[in-house]
Amino acid sequence: MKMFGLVEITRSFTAMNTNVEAVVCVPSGGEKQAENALLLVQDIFTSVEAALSRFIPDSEISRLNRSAGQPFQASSVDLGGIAKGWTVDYAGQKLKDFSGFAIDAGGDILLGGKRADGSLWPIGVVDPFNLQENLTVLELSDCAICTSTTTRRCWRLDGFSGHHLIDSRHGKPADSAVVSVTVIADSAARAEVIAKTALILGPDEGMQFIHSQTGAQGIIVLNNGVLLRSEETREAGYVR
Amino acid sequence: MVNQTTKRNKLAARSLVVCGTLLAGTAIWMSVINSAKPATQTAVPVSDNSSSVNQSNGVSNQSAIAVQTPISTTPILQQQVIPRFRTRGS
Repeated sequence: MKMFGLVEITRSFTAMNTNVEAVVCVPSGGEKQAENALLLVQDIFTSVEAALSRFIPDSEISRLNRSAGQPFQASSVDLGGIAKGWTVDYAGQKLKDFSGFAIDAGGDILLGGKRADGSLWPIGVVDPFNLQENLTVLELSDCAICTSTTTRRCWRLDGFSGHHLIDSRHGKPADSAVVSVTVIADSAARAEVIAKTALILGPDEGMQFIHSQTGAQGIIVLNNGVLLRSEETREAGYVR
Repeated sequence: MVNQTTKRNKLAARSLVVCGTLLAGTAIWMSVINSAKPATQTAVPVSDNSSSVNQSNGVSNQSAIAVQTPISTTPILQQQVIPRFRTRGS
């Protein structure tokens, strides 16, 4: 895309078991600077994954977990619920001097400034019942948007279905009526954590929790298809 | 007599010219008006109302889009812009 003298430079790569895409807007002639910045973003993802992934045997977190119980009592640590969002924020710090940038790590998205054509970033919120479709499209800038859902990373065992969002109150997959929660917040780590918490809390308590968080807005989809959304998300959307 | 016939013929000819001019003008005007009308926009629903089966947990669900929300009675109908990114959950 090339308008108003700005161009969007994109870099895509795989990290943390997901596809990552980073975009920066630069004036024509600044492509090299953009490519260097995007390479730095990729390096950040690679290094954080090497340190924090429990799926890499030699990562720091794996070594820590192998030592659980010795020499001190400790449980294993899994940062899967926050590491990706935190890495998106960390990498985004390296892009903040660009007039516009975006990082999308498997749907955990951080947005800064505007696109090369001066417009806001249009973000689709996926329908959890039909992944090819969007529930809505939001125009956003200078914020993060993340979604947690029970329809991904789930399994069936002995006739029971489970998913990866564990309710720490009983140590089992959350059993609320919520299928997915999308949260807009000032950072991806916050949005990710708020979304997971709201999903575990359930529709009413979850929406209250979202609204209790400064600057946070949310969209909650229930398993019966009912959709709850903050008024602010309606204002940010193209379609009401 | 000849003069009166000639006058009638001339009058008829003028009437024909006037009528033809009016018809042609009307046709041109109509075509201009039609071409100036804005293109009709067709609302394209994001999804149809057919039920879908959630592959991951086997639960059959009606699409969320077709359901009225408790906050507003306005359903989310369509998207007008192709999103640059999509948040799909993890």
